[in-house]
Amino acid sequence: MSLFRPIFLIAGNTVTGILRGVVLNVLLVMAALLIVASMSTSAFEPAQVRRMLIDSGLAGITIMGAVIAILTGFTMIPNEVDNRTVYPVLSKPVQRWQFVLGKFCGAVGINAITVGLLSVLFFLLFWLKIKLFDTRLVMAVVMIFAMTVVLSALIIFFSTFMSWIGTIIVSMVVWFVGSYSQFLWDLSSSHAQGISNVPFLLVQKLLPNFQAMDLRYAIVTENVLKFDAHQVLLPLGNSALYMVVALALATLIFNYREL
Amino acid sequence: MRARQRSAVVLIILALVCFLAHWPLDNYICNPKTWQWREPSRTSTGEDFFSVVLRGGGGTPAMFAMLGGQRYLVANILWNYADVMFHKGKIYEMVNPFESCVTLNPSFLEAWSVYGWHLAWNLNADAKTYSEKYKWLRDGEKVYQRAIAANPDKPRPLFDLAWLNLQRRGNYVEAIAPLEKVFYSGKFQPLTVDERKKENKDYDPELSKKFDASIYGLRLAYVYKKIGIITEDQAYFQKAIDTYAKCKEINPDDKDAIRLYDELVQKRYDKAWIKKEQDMEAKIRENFQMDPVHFGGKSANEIFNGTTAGHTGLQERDSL
Repeated sequence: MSLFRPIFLIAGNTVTGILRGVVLNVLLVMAALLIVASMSTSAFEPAQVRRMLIDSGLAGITIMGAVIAILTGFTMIPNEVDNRTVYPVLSKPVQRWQFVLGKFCGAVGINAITVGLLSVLFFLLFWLKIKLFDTRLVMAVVMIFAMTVVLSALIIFFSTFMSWIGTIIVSMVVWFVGSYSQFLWDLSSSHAQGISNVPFLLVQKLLPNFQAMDLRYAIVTENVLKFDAHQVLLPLGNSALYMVVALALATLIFNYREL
Repeated sequence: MRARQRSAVVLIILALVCFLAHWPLDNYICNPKTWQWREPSRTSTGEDFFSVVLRGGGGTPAMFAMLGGQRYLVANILWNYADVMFHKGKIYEMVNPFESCVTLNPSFLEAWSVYGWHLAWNLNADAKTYSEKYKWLRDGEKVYQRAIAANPDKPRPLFDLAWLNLQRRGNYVEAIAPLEKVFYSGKFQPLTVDERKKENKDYDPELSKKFDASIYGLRLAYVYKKIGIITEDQAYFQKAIDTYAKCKEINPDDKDAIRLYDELVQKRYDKAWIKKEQDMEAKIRENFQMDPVHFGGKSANEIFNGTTAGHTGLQERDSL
């Protein structure tokens, strides 16, 4: 238990610190406005109205979830180092890996609050407008949360050796490219020349597969009536493995970093 | 020092093992053969998302949304943009946003439907020359054909194509195939009486793949009846009667099917009624600038083949 206690303490402090700040609150208000705005549509048919609401609502949660994960995550470790607040923490019986994991758990907490609040707002507006509740949306929201968790692990990794601006830019690029991961895989497997496939394959494998975690296609095209367990667990497992890689490398670099 | 090196080795091994384990799993969920729920490949059709969005006029917000993989959100933005253009009267500026919208989200059935309608009805009507009118009508038809290819499990695009041939071109022969495909091929199932009452049946994953007999069946019977009136061929009247009967069988409370069935059974041999209907048909075709048809004595294919050019009238075509 003593092994994990510092992790939870650091995570708790991280969440409290970010909640006290202005950035998250401003972003949450913006996100809420985006979700509310996305509920307006000019479609005529009830079926299409419902489909557009799902599209736009889930897109709003995804975009703002990722943006909040990036804008609250990039300062977590660099700020502690720049403000020298990391020294009193590490002078206590706290290992560096515990510090990194604590920061990561704090980011997960922030993501849970963000995605949770936005989802409640989305479900509420969806209910008010359509008078229906689609259980598949819950699964979609869970996957969006998982996506933000993987993104946070990567942000923690980048922030152990990059400047804050570098972390923001690279995280954005990773999010953008990761959202087209399956199309990158298509590119890598569709080229006739073997050697030209390698760059696409490397980029695809080095970046997380966020596209597999986006369930909107399955919901919107009505491919899926009910999600099977393995349909959700396999992308989650894939992301979990990727997250462990990012956190292991983050810990490794932070262990060797001169503070 | 040794402890730090040991932990470094452990972390490197852990990262390597997880990365190697993630590789085949990632391949599994990327391969469309093993992972049926993924989006179809876009590379094979050579679609360039970014040029699509720029062409669509979604602007910077759409570009940003695209970068995060938000294709459906962008499609919705473009749909709204096209709607704004329509209400401003800028009908030619709707084409690109609609094209981008359906490219980004091929399952957006209403967008396909409205896109084709704008081309074949509004732009066609606005065009001044025969060749322009023909172009817009053909473009509308192509849009519906693409919609059918993109949504082979949905009956609605087939109805849109049939409606274009029926209502816009007045080519009843061309309207038969898509309606028969829905009604008689066995590929689609009819909605039951209870299912018909449900709201959002176009959205419900199971119900959207079924067809409503009172829409598709009655329309098909109407097409048969029209061809029967034009050709005076009793075989088409019989087909119409059979189709009305099938509609009644699917929904015994369908008042329209009952009424139209009884009416046709009664009047199918009434020459005066057929003549009256032919006169009305000729008037409709004249008012809506459809190609005129020859009544009686010829087969449906003979009558309609060669007059499928579209909704402009032969006189105008001859004058060019």
